[in-house]
Amino acid sequence: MNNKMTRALRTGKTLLYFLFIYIIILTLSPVWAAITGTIKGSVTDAGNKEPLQAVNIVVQGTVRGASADADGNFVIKKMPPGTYTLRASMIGYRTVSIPDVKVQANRETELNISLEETTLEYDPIVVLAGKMEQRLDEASVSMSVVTSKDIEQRNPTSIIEALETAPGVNFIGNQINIRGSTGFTFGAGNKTLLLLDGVPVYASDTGAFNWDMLPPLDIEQIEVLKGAGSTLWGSSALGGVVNIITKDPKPDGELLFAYSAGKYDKPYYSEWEWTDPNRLHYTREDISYSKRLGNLGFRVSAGRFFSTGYTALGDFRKYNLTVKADYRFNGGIKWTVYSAYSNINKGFFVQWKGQNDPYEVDVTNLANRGKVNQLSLYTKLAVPLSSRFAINARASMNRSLLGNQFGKDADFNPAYGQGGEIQADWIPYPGHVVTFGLQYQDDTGSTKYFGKHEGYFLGPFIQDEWKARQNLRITTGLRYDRYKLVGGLKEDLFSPRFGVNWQPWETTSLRMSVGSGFRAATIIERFLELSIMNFKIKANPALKSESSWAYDVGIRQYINRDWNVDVSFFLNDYWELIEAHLDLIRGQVQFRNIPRARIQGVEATTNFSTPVYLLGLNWKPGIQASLTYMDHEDMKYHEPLTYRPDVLATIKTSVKVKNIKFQVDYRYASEIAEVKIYPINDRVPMKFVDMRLDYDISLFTIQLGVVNLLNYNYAPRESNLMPMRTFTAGLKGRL
Amino acid sequence: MNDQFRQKVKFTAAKTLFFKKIAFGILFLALLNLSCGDDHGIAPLPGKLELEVKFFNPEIPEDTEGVYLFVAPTFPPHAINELFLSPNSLPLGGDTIQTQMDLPYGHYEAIGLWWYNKKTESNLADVFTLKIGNNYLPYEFDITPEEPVHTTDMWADLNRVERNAYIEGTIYFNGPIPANTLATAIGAYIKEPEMKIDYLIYLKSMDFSIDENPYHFKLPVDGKGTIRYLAVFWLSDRSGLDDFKTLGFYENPDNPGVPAELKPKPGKPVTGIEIYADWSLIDEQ
Repeated sequence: MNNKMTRALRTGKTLLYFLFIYIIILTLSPVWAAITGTIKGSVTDAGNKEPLQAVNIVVQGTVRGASADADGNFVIKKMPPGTYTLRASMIGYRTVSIPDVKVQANRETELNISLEETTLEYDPIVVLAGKMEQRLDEASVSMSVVTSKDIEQRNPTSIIEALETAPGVNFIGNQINIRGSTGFTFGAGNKTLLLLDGVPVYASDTGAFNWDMLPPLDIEQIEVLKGAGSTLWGSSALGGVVNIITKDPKPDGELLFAYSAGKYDKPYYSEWEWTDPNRLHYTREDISYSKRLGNLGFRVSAGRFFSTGYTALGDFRKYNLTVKADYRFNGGIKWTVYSAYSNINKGFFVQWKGQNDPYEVDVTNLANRGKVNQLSLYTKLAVPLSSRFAINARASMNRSLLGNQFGKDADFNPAYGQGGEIQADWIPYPGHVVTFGLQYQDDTGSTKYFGKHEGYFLGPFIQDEWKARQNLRITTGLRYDRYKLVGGLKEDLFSPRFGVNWQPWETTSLRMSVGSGFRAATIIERFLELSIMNFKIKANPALKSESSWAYDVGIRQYINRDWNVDVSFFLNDYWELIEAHLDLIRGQVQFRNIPRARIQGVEATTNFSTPVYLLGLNWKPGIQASLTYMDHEDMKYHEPLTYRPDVLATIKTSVKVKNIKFQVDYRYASEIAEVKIYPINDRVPMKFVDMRLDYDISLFTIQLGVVNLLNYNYAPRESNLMPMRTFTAGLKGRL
Repeated sequence: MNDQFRQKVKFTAAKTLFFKKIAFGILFLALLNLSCGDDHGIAPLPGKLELEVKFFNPEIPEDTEGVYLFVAPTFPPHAINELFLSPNSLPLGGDTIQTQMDLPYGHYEAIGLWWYNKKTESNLADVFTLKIGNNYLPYEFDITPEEPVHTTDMWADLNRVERNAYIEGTIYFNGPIPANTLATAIGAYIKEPEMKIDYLIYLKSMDFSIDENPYHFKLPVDGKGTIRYLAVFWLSDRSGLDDFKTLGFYENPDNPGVPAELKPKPGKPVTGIEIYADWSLIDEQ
């Protein structure tokens, strides 16, 4: 670390230290001395009157909250006297607000809350929008949420499958696109940030995401922020942020298990058969146990996922082990430790042998194997110092090892990402929530191809969420980052943000946001230089950070209690967009900056669910539909950006009757207009239909399904077909 | 609640139920229609080129990474990714190779072989074989529903990539390299190109890495033939392989304005060449 950087770090730490002392003296001392009251109560299911555990209770306008225990009881202590609004939320239930809860000194206020079960999640609680909990319809930015209930119903074998029906989201290979953010960068660098419980978890050398880092069984909720989010989340939050929230330990002890198996069907065209189709299958087994022992809670999960693949070199063996533990001290202090380990051994399918042998690779590539080995660790400490001030600190480490990624002997060395953040949530005046803090991240990677490189950034941030009126929230924020590549360039980046959420009527929520994002080029984008098959990758050490401004205007309208519609108009302007550039003279790939690019469009989603009494039975049908239109352009050459469809659409229908649930999903993406490598190859739109049947028997669920029912052949990028029709079966249980 | 209001609520509920049934019915029919569709996306390519490659000399040059077959729908192509390229190298080592490539229906203007070098960047000069048809132009053929398989053969000489001699010298530009440059190159030709296609057919060697002024070059060539045209080219950003702009060429010292002839041999390189490149010539072409 050079002297300037050390000075910057020292200055940042000193400033932060004095700021904390100042705030603590000014705002906390009187609070410690003050006389307080307690809110306690219980939460039950409105239908069967059974107690509900793990319901999240938040006292709005404060940093206080609680989680219901095994008997559905909760206690919130040290509340200054006053009148509050409580909000109770849980996945699978409608969120309720309880106004006018009066707290008196040295008294206990009792509350009985009942929650109503719902088929669809309308406005779940999210943390990604403001780095604090808020209802989705109170956010000033566009977001989508995939809940654990969605995940359970879809029975995905990976996080990708859980995310691929989210509005405005599509995958090109393993790379996520949020409203066309990333395109396809050959696995190097994502223009979205992946967070695990709010902690960055990208590979420090490639920037790639390991979507197999944890089993779907562990996921409580996945939040997708659309547009730039660097003000709060720092580098990489250029075109969006994905936050995977893991399940907390359950108070009463819980054993979850899931088994799923899939059998790949024959290819639609018999001439494409390349092996005995009966041998092509996968199996996935996961088990998870969680319990609370007094103040200590833990969750341990293990899983394995084996597949023959549906192509030559498509086989893999994946193992997961995750451990989450928390300890709740007196005074609401919570300490959390999480670790996720994954080990993957897989064939390395780069491209098909030819369009007439799309599931095969050339015989010279049959030895290509890849390995991924990743360990992600974080620890967090949440300290609510008073009802108006809380501190959250975290430290994290991510070690990823890519083995044999680009053909024989192409081993990388382990890449290390280390980070730390200290964040404070402060309510200086009623209606204001000020979030501020300092984030540090250091990424190191090395291979024999590019030597050892290290880059780090240090970023203080501040945001004010001002509830100007009961129905009006105004968000302003600013972040400054100093990015430094050791022995190389140095950049200063500012990421401001402004947002408004206005609810003129109870059923209408209008939002508007302007924000900026940036991403420093990954080590691999700058320095990788190698040949793989007939591609040559060329280094570009002068690659600059890319940045964006995102503008979003949206409306969320409830037509009635069971039907809502959300429409947003977005415009994302990019500067120095990093894209893989194919040198059409020398036949080599190099990452370069596109000076100006723009992605603009409109996105509409609707959720509808209502009971229907038919044929003497009570049916619960639900529809979730979304349509995203994107106009994307390289502003210098007035050409479409590569690997981005213009239109995305999803229709998810479900109907539940008694203990049977039937679902049909349709996923559409228009034909990709521009690709890099083989523009003369055939390209088609994506049209997938998936069908599932769930049958609940007591604590178990049997699932049968067909993925890609029409046996449609789609290649999101050149020479890579998606799986053919696949028959799936699963058994899940909760004990 | 009065009777009139109760009746209104009842009517509204019945109407809502009716619309719900209609909506779900339409959705069910739409999904049924989708599932009965005959569109299955990407399909196998219907045509095929069957090719026998005969080598004059099957000995593989030491620095060979591979040899790839290409078929060009248009020739010269605008860019190298407008070629149908074999995904991997042809199996080298024998006198003849039987190979094939699946193709869509259409007209094709060239078949060739592309040599990939382990040491240096692959470039246009590594197109070491082009099947020649009538009038000494590249061989053209059609793949049609009536004749989906086209069979032909081609001679190839790996000696052409044995660049065991070199030409060395310096290029002097009369100004900086423009910002909108895709590539600046020096190329050695067995004959001065006249038509666009000649820039590929007569090419013996090319170096695309010119990035400074003056630029010292060392251009590897085979030590058998005669180089009759040694020139400096420029390609603007987004231009194609058929958009070469000549900035200058090596002139015969005894006859200025006329290209010089060079005969490099193994162990007897041609050195001390000086070429003057003039950016103003871009506007004249």
